[in-house]
Amino acid sequence: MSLNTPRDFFVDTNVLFSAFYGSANSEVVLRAHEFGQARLVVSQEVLGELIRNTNKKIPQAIPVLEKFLRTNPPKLVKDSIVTEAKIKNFVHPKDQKIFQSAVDAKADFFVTGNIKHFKTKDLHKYFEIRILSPKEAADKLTSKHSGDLF
Amino acid sequence: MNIRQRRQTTLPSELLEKLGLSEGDSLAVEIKNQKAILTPKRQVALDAFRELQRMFQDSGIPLKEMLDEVDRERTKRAREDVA
Repeated sequence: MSLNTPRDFFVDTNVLFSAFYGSANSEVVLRAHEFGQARLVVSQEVLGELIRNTNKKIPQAIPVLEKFLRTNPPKLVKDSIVTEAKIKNFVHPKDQKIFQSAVDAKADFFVTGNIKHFKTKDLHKYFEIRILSPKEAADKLTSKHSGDLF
Repeated sequence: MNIRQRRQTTLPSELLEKLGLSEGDSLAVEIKNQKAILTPKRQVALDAFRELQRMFQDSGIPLKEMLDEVDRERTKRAREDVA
């Protein structure tokens, strides 16, 4: 992979909503995608959660959300059907399918606001993907050593 | 700017510099009153993002309520998958 190739950041739904509510760290991740420093990756399930819940709670935001997503779309990956045993052991049941999608998509990072739902050390032994909180992701993206990442 | 064969044209480097654009970037084109407005796509996305932030923060729906709803929905789906 070229040093200039942006890494794939699979983002959980809570990161997207947090960015829309003004979380500085989550915003860094979304802005990195816009500036070509990272590539956002979402699964069909994440995109569905984002659109369904926005439509349910703040329907007036749907046209703007559509414009935002269409202008510079994240990479959309399929939901995984089968969950590996190791993921079942080390990930909270409700997050297993989404994490499996990130693994299957070969994303470099999985960014979630619910990091306590993941046994990160155990997962790191078996999977190359690194699990980050929004703050850890923002630190990586704004680090003066970020050249090492990209 | 002249339009050449096959509708091709070259954007002046000064224009690209002022818009902060370089090779590989994209432009959005909007036609208004017979005028073409060129906007860097990145700016279109960032403007939409700012507008989303304004709408979400002014909605009266707290972030926690939104995230709790996502969690409830996801938990329900996970249980259904197991069943």
